[in-house]
Amino acid sequence: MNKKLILITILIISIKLLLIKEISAQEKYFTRDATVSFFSSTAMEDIKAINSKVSCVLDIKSGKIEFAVLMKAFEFKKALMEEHFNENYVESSKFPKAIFIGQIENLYEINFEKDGTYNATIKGTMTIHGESKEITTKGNIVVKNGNLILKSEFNLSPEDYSIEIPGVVREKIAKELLISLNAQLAPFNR
Amino acid sequence: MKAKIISGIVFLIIILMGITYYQFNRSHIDISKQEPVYSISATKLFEQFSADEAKANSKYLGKIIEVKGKIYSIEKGVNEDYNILLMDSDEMFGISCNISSNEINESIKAGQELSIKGECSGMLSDVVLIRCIIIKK
Repeated sequence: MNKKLILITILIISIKLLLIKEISAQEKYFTRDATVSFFSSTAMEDIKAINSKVSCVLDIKSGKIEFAVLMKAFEFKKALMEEHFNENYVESSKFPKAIFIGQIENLYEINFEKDGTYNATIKGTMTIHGESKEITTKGNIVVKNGNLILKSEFNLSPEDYSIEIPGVVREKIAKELLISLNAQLAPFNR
Repeated sequence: MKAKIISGIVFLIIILMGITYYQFNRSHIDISKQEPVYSISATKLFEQFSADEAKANSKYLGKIIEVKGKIYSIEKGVNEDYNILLMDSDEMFGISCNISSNEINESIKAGQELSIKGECSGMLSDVVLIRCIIIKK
């Protein structure tokens, strides 16, 4: 009788422990300091801008991934370029944010519990300058000590987002900009 | 007379070229020498943004502001930079500041109160300040 009671108690405790583990298993990863840079290369000039204040949330259970980018946080080497970018091209006072909401298409291929490098295909909607476009991009996710590093490179064309670049400077800015993304995500505990 | 006009035109062209060259290569304003447009506590700034983001944007976007608050975390960024988060420990989000590594020394630690001056670029989950400098007291 006593033995039975002990067994039941152990059983209950282990079920509870399992449940706790299930609840505390980390699902959301977050960073407020991801980096997005863009690079434009033409015969006339190379232009680079870096934004180190991009936020990213990844839900590893559903594969949903979101990025939010403040247009005013892109830093250029030349002040005049930054002003043109903000005032004339992306109109950052009117459209302060760019947003990407997407989905990791091959979620089943990524084991977030095992350290390693995994390829990821991400599909979603990019909204810049008030214009939304479907994009698909490839990248990789490094799982390391419970943190994630997501990297990707892809091209964007300003014209796709109704960003008009006047004729005088059109030749200085590439038709396709190379976007590089680097996000180091940590479990979101709160 | 003709020579005078020509030399006048040449002179003007040189000045214009000079202005264009200056404008094109003009560097960013030195934030350390700029008076902040607003001086505010981290909590108040965050409250204003979460209450009415559009209104706060029109007030603060692109402006140099001085923010006083408590360091929640300080972390090295991917580039030669650091990220300082100003917020109280019982809050979820705060003021996220990007700061160059030569502004940082060992005396700056989490839990400390300090003032940071930077350019406000808007709000994501936190209010973001870039090109920050630490105000020496």
